[in-house]
Amino acid sequence: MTDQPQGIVHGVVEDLELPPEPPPHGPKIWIQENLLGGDTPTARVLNGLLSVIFGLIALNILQYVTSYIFEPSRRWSAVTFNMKLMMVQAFPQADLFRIWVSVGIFFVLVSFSLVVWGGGGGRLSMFSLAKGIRNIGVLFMIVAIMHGAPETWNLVSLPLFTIDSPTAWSLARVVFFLLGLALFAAGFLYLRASGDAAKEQSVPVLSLLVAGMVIITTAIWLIKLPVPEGQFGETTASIARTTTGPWTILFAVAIGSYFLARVLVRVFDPALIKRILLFLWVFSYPIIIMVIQRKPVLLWGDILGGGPTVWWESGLGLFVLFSLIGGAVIWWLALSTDVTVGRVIAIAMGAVLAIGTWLVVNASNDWEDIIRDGVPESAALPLWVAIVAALAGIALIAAGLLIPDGIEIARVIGLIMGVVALLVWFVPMLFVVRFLLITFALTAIAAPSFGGSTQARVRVVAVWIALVFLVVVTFVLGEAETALEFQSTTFLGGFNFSILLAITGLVLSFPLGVVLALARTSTMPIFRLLATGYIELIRSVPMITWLFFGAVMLPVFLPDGITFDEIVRVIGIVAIFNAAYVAENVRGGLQSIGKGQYEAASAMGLSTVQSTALIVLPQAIRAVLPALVGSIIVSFKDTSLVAIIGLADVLFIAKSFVPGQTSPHNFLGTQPQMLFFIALFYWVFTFSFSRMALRYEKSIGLGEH
Amino acid sequence: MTEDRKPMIVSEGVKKWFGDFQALRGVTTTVGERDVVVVIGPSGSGKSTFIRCINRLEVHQEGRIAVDGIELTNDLRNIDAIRREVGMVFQSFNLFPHLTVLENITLAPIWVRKHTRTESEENGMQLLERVGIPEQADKFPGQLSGGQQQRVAIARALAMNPKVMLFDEPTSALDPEMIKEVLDVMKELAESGMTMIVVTHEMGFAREVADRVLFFDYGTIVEEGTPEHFFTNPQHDRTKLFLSQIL
Amino acid sequence: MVTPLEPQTGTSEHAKPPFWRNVTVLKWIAQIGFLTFFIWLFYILISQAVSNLEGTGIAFSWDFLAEPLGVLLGEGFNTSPGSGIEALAVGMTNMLRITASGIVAATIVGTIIGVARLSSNWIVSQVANAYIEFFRNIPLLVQIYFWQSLVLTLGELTVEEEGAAWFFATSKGIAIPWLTPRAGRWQYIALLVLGAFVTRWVYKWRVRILEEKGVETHAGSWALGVFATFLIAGWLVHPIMGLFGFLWSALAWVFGNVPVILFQLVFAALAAWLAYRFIKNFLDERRTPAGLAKLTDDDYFRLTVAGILGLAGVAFFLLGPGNATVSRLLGRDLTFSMNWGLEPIFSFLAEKFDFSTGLPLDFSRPEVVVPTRFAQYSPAVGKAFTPAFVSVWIGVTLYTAAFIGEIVRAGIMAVHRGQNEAALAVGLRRGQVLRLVVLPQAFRIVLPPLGSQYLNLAKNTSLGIAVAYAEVVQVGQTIYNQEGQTLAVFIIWMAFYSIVSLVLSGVVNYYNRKMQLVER
Ligand SMILES: Nc1ncnc2c1ncn2[C@@H]1O[C@H](COP(=O)(O)OP(=O)(O)O)[C@@H](O)[C@H]1O
Ligand SMILES: [Mg+2]
Repeated sequence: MTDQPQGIVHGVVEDLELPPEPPPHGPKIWIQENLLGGDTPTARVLNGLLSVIFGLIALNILQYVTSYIFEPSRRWSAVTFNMKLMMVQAFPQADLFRIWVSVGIFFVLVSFSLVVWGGGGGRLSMFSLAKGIRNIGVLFMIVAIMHGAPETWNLVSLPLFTIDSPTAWSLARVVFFLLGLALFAAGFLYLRASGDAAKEQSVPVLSLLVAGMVIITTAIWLIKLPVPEGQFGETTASIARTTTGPWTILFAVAIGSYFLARVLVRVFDPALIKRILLFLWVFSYPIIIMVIQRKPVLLWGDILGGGPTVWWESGLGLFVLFSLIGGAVIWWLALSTDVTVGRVIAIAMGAVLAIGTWLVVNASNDWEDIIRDGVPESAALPLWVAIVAALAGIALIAAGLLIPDGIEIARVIGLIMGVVALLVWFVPMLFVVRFLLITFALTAIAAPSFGGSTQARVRVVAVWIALVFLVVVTFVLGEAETALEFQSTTFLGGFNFSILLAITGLVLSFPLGVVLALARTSTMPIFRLLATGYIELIRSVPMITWLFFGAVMLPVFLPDGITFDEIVRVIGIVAIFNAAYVAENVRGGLQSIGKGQYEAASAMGLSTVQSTALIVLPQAIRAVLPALVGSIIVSFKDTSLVAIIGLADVLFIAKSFVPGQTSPHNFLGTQPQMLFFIALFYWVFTFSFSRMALRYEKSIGLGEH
Repeated sequence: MTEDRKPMIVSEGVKKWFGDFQALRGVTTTVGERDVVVVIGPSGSGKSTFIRCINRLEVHQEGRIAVDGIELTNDLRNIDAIRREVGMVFQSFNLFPHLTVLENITLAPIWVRKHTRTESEENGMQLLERVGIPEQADKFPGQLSGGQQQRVAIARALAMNPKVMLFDEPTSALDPEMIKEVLDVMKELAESGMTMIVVTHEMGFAREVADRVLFFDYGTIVEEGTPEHFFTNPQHDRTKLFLSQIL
Repeated sequence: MVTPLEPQTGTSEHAKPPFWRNVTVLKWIAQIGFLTFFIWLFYILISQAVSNLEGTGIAFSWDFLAEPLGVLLGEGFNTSPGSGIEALAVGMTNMLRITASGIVAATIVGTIIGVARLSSNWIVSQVANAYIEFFRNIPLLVQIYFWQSLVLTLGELTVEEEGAAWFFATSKGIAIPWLTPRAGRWQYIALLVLGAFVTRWVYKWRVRILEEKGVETHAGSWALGVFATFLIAGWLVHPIMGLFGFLWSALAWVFGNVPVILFQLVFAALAAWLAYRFIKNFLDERRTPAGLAKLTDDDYFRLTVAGILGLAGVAFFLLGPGNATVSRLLGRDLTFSMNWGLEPIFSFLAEKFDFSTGLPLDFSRPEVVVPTRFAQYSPAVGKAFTPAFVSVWIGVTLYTAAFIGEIVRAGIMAVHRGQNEAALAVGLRRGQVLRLVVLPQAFRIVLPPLGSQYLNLAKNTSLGIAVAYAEVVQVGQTIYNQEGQTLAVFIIWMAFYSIVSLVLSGVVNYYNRKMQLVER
């Protein structure tokens, strides 16, 4: 009964309306209901008392904060002068455009996506907009008044900061107050004037966004603030200082590409644009990191062959070899009905494996050493690797000779390739070849499930070639030196690094997390046991110990000759850590899928791999998307922990670099205010992101009702 | 009726336990080609378990089952072959909610039978026409009524060109006014010569369509016979009691 | 009418399929293959690590646990520990100190915030909302740094402040009045434990009368009264618990003098018995009137594992390693030069339980003393918290409280609105509805997520390292910086946190199950 279809309605996402606001009363009734409410007189008095106490607490905190911010001795220039440092750390000045280009790509993709998927991000009712503006106005006015309030207003005067409040109305305070008054008046008058009509009217969120961009652009061009410690001899500077131009261009690009997208969806097939966009979202990210920001020096000899590199060890050579030979095998595996071809392939692969093993062992080893120590002197190949590889080769040949069924030969090939993928770690070879062989094994195991008609076979082979391309390109780019000149260990730093860590950690953890979740819910006890053990071990130990593990211990565990950069290690650890949490989320989704779905799939003859990939995972992941989005927030907050192991993320720079600066400006002792700023910075990010996540969650109908 | 037909499903002494509970206590029967067999019996008597053993949704522990001459064992090849030949319709439809109606139907032909998409879609549309809802092809299951969903489920099972169709209480989750539309489709299927095993409480259907009726109780077949035999002259006390309660 | 029919020949009847097509065989090949691979990978990594460590000249060993090391810890029951294990013990207690008190405080603050969030009073609910949104959207590390910088901006502790007062808040930390334990505390605690059992018994007894007779028996008040009696009277009569001293010394004698082999036998028997019980219960569950049911391969797997574990346990306890372990457990062999084990523990207790009449606790105000040129808080009276402790404690408490607030709010909202209305309809007042109807039900919903917040809090105390609070990670890091035994320290970290997590989630699960039983 419980496994009825969930009835998820697709495609049509209705705009969720807010529940109707209660009819607007005068402020008197509002106060009576919301501040002095209660059934009995005692309750009303109590409520009033609570209102006063909480109100005073709130006002006090507000005063502390505002006094702290506006205190004349605060040196907020420590923030503005070091903005670039906190965002990108030591990224060279001359190459800064690379960062802007990255941001620009992101803006363009967002604009296009808004058009293609969001339909403009929905609408906001004028009523709540006006109310928001009115309330912000009130808040501004209170802040302006509180800022100058005498200290005796404080209920408790904590000796936290020495506040010498200027009681006079300085110009800034007056301006601030008037701004608040204006906002309040605008909101209030609008509500008064339009009355009930305000509830019917609404504005697209998008136009608000555009308005915001225009206002900001105008502001950064027009508003000049006095600079007390001017760096370039100026006395005033724009609030965006050196970035006025780039931001203006970026906003223009964002708005421009929005309209371009609107034209394009009319001209071309929206489904096609969607697919291209999805592709760009996935691939723009590695390209931004590896090409645009890293500025690699490409060694054409390594890529095309020539010089000291043999042609088949070059990037191009590997790509051609693997996509051709591997592609041919996979073409057959994707519809393995032709037995004769299967026999030839299995025997050929087996022969390559067996003879290759023999050659390697024979060429480089002293048999006596092997028999005596198990490991040859020259350590080319441990004995057991040779034995397993030879046996695997013989098994393949035997399968090719004995099994009269193509599909079963294909199964054996997949199995043996799985073994080979494990063996490659112990055979000396190029690192990229190891990864290509593992990729081949995975593709070979999956190919029979997803092949079939010519169409499907072409698709499988295309995926294979794309994977080969990806692996080869990643390695070529990864091995290339960067041409950037910077004074730190990596080109990544500051906020740029935090973001990279959060996204990469999460993206990499996703496949592992899914596999773990599947294993933990599997019917096979040993897989279940191992997955549960992994997940629980990771989750019971704090993240900081895992980071120490990555920074201090990981190199110890790695075999000789394999080293990774500290940043790479930390990213890997973050991914391994997140995977346990992703797995738990996905497990929740898997458990929400009725048994009937599995039964229907297997009754139709789908294999386990097929029903998992086509039926179970799509539903499970859809069900847990909100939770996964939530874990992006957690992951982003957690990246701050790398400051403890001394990596220069935005927190580390703000807390340790900036307060240590003595030239050109002396920012010693600014640590509290830098932390204040960083707190605000993180808050704005996580808060707005969680709001967007909530909106998204509601739009797919999973939020609270 | 059945003697002259080639045997399609053979079951001999099939036993099945859930933990310490024995759900099947030796079920022996044979279903011939083009036979329509209706299975009735009280709730919990093992009807579902039996037909689920036939396509290996449950694993029987003793006895043997063969479908179209293929023995049901641990052999992966046989299991695959039998699942390809046996279609199943569930009480709770079990359509895939994230796929459209047409995608639900073409899924197995594309991925299991390895047909092309165009070919499968054409065939799928024909099946939708056969069950009477071609206009719903691009909707999602959640947007259909129960009767329509069950007809999609039948079309989905038929898309694999099965030799045998199993129905596990296909109308029990439906509102009364939708039962008929599903039963009509099933009747049409029976007339076209499909071998069918139907667990149902629709006695009208049994009387009209069935070649044979099996009565299950406590995990065994207590009585079997033609519909006339069953509804006019049941032999066993438990059968009589059951029929008196249900009719 | 049914003619027995032979199946068409196609596959040979009852033929065993070849192994590469046999579902069961394939399943087990995959699992065992993977398990082998996994164990082997583990082995490779560990031996690689060990040999790499040897290569750097620091061979893996546990010796540092026993050896004296010259580190000074920021705080704890022993700030200049004599050995590695002592230092780690200080770190662990420091961690547990924050975890335990933080859990209590965060639960209280969080519940208040959660309830306030739902208040009909606009200001109250907005303040609670602001609290939640503020604290949960800023990384905890930033918050801890922030509290630290705040405490450090407090005034200096000056020589002029010498003397006692109710409260000090300076950049040296915060000092408050405190109950300091005195000599009589052991007897008093024992008496209170006894009192708890008596109270429980009294409560059940009153409830039983209530259920049988159907009259109000004030079970709660009775229980409270009994415990209060113990609390107050115990202050005077706790020396009588000195009687236990005899019991403790008797136990200490047993653990100290009975031959080890006897204890080994007991443990071995225990292992065998546990395995036997498991297998027997399992088979009993599968037994039907018609005989034993067919077992699936999963069942066989469990039985085999239970059998192997049982045998392994027996073998372990009877052989050399078992002898060593049991000796250490008893305290016959010194472990890492620590006087630890059952015998020393009971000797220690026997020493503490005497008939002398010392006060159990003693209330005192904090005091500033000037032993040298600099002022500091007196360690003897009151309670002083270091800036590191204060910043970590406030950080994790307020941070976790924000999440608990959300959980409590969601829990209360999840209690069906009908419950609320029904309760109001039978004439309960709002406060009563909350106390009697909504909160008990909400508690059940809230418990599992609350448990995971407690776990998070426990793990988050490890951020203490950022402000040099001497908890287990910080102490461990100090040790491996000095001794180089990274691998050993990591193993200790993992074991410690796993145990803490297991205990915490065990407690939560226990209550959860209890609540669910009540529901039925
Ligand atoms: N997965 C299962 N685990 C344990 N017991 C089951 C399971 N499936 C069915 N049973 C039990 O087997 C018996 C037969 O069930 P079923 O075949 O569904 O009966 P019917 O379809 O005739 O109502 C019932 O008593 C049921 O409780
Ligand atoms: Mg049933």
